[in-house]
Amino acid sequence: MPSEHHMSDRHPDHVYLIAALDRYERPLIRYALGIVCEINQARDIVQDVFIKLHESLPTLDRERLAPWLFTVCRNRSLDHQRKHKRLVPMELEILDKESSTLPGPSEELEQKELSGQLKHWIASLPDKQREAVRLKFEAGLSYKEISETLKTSIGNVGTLIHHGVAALREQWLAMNA
Amino acid sequence: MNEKLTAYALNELPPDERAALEAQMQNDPALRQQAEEMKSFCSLLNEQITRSEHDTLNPEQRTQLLENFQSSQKIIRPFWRRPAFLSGFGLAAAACVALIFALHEFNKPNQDALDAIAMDSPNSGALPHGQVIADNAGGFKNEKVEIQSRVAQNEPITAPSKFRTRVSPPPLTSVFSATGNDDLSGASGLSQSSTIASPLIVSNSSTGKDGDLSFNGITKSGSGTVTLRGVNTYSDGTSVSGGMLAMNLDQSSLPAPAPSAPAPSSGPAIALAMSSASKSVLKADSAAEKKNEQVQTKSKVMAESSDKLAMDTKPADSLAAKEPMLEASGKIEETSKLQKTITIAGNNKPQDHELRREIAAAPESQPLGGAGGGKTNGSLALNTNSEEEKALYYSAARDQTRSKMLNIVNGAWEDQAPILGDILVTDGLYGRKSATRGTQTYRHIIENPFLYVAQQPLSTFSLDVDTASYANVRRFLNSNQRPPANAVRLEELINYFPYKYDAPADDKPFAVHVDIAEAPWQPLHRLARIAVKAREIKGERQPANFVFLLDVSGSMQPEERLPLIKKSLRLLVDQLRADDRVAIVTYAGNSGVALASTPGSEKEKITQAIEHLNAGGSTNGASGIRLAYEQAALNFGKERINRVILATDGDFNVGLSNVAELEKLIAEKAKSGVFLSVLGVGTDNLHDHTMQTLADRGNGNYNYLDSVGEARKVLVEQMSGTLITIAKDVKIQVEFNPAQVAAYRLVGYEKRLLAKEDFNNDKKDAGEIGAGHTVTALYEIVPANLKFPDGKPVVDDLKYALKEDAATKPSLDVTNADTKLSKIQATPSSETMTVKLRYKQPDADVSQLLEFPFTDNEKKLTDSDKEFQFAVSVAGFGMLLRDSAHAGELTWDTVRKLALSGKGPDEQGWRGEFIQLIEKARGLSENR
Repeated sequence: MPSEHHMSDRHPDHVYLIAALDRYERPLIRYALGIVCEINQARDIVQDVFIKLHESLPTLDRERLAPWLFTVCRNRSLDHQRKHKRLVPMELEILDKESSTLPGPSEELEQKELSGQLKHWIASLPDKQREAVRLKFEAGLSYKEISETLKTSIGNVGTLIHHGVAALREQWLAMNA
Repeated sequence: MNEKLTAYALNELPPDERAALEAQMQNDPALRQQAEEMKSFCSLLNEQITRSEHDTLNPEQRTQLLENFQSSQKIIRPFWRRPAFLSGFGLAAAACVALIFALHEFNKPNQDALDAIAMDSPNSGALPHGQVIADNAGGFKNEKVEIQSRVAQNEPITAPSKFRTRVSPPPLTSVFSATGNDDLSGASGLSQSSTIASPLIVSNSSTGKDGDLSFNGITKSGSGTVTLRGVNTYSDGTSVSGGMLAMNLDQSSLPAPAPSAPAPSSGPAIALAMSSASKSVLKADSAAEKKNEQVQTKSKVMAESSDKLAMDTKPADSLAAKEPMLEASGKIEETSKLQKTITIAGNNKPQDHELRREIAAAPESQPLGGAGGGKTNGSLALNTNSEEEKALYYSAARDQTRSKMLNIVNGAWEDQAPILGDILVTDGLYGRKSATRGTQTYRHIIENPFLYVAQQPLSTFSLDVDTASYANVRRFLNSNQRPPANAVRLEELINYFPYKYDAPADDKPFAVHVDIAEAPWQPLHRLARIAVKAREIKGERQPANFVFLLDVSGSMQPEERLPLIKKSLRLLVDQLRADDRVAIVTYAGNSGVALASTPGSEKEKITQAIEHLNAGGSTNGASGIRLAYEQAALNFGKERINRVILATDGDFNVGLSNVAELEKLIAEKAKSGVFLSVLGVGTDNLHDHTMQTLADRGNGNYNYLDSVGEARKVLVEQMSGTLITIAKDVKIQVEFNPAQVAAYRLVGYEKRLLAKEDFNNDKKDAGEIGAGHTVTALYEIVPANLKFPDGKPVVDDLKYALKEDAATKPSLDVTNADTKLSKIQATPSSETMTVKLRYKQPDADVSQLLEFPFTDNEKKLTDSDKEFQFAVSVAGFGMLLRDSAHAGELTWDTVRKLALSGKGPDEQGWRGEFIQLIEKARGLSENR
């Protein structure tokens, strides 16, 4: 019973938290956004995730930070979503259209359209593929981290991502054709 | 293309496979080509998906997070590592075992009531007499300690050997089930820290119900824990001379509504808490004597506790625990009398699905009043003083029926503010955390049931002219969704439409018309319409003193929020006259005055200020509201319409946003003459209820804006009604004549019900009525003299309900007063009912009474006036949308027919729109 095992030496923890925030802030917001479809709510959720991270730091398995973060983020987003019960695909589109109303170089507009289109396609993938693809590309997790988040094998993650990416690519090729 | 290629493109292939694949590519240019294509697509995908300007936290959020990180003193540690646990738990356990000892000695428990409380009090030795049952099956993570303490004995008992205890009647037995865990702050303030109580079980033999009151210790940033703090000082010769258990439930941060199937017997407790002072502490006289062997016993106890709890206590820990123990023993020798105080303090944030509160009390022995928690500082007092507590108990029982009604409606539960957002719950000893859901999007509505006139001849409710529900239902239907049942509030649907009722002929503020026809969904029943028409303001209105309080937080950005509000306000500004004054206060992370009070003649300036508003940042509702009221006070004039107009999506997400306090503030300001109107916007109506409550407290109204059209209706066409209050606290009480009416059911107004006593109570807040408003209430009536054509009962679902003779039997549902009433032979009268209406002038404190008797003249609905038919149609529309149990044979066709025949000239087109909504709703309901 190491009762003297204090956590009060907080400096390394603080550094760790800041590093986690820098690394995962954007991926998490994108990930939450994919579920709740409203940027401010996504931000709120991610803020809560980090607060929870801070609170759970002593019990956290630091090797598995990413799976932890994304699991918590997904649960909270789904809770949120369940409360609001809104339709997902439409809102994504609206959101992207809204963000593209600013006049800008035509190229950027095109880029926006493409990224919006891709997001839309991702949203319409089968559930598991979508999750895997989003964790891979939006969050930049490794196969291993994805497998821990989704609680499946690395091989299965490879399959899911392959099918997801292949489907996206086909749609992309079809659009460019 | 295969998985390996994808993995290769993503750089995820293990080194050996990667080498193999590259070797293969050397020989196969096609494969290389594929791999390159895949790679380029993946990088495109990556680039496209990760490019976004929006995917960072707001600066405010980031700052808050960093602050949170800084405060890392507050660290949750596994509970067994916390010093507080080690010393406290050991100590508590030890003391508890001491209690067992004592018990063994008396061994005559006169056990009538049980309460279970979790405790782990580091400072103290727990309870003087008790029994510890430690269940450590699950190891540390499932530590569960039950401390059963029996403080009992009706008469002095002389124990054979070491202990003698005298406890004055009535007996009290408590079971303390401990799930100990220290809260966050406990980690820093170790010596004082203590624990979470869960659950508190109180058994009630009088109602025959066992209730339990369970608290989940909730820990978020160190606050919100039900803490049981024990301070025991043992004296030489020993023990308990007074004991009290006070529970201080601070709902301030995140209280829960908990209206789920309203816990039936929670009523008394709440009534009790409300009627008693904020803290009632009742003392128990109990004396116990112990001999000097005390210290010796203690150490024995110590040893036993370690064993019994099967704790993984190593010697060092035992020592640590022993130290304070000895200290306690020391005190034993010093003091001659012992005062034992257990205080449960902290924030309690019960969840509706987790918190079951049933309060009960045993008639003779019961020492307990429970404060379930609505009040900010409600209190629970454990009392072992018989007279006082009996009185308490009976008063609780008396209030039960009333409270039952109230807590469904606007009683105690309503006093609890809803939860905003999620709460982190640290689950007691288990150290397990789970994100729990906050409040439901909408308050749960339980439709008013049929009530027997014999039992409850009076029906009382507060007049309501909110119309938000209709606009909200319309939004759902227009987006081809069926609205959730709880979003459909019948009275708000009915009252959305202005009706052409005759205005009061005299100078009274109201005219009341009653009309009765058959109910279209149950032709054997009658449907009574009570139509209230408020006086129109003739000529010019008074000059206004408006303060627009605008939420400009980030969540207001979407088109249907702040931009809609801006358009709406411009409509209102166009209506301003030169002697009006307008100020604009905005609030987000910080609140500020966007426009100091400006006369209505400077429309340009006001419009520009509105134009310059932008959304951004988070929301702190409370400070903005304060600032707005200050602005309103600056230009306050008795002859003016003083009003704060709050426009928000209700998402108060910064700080604790204590809604209860906010309500208090608003209610105070309303008394000073500044009323509050709320304009709700936004597609997710998470805070529908918050806004409705705020408007109620502020003597104002709540309107939901889903379009500029709706804004025009609320702010331009019905401006005088929305903004000029001609009467406040308007209540209606209907008395039914039992000779004519067997049973009745109020359609809608579920959230507006009042207890019958509240009708004459001028302190009880109720609805406000604006100039020219019409309010309609419908009662479905089962006539007393109903002839059954085939002998079948008309109302099947009342088969097991108490009939007329029930009045002679004791029933919990019937208060004494009701029983008496029903025994009185009804005076023969052909009147069906009498409608009584009470109102106060906007600046008055004393209410005035109007009475309107009415007799059913057997009219048919088709012969009744068009307004009646239309109102019935709207009610039917709502009942079908709600899947009402009372909808009977009602069909969409009937609703449509009634709407068409009641449409009338329909100058504004609202009724025409309603008929279209019927079609939409029909499509959505029938295609399911």
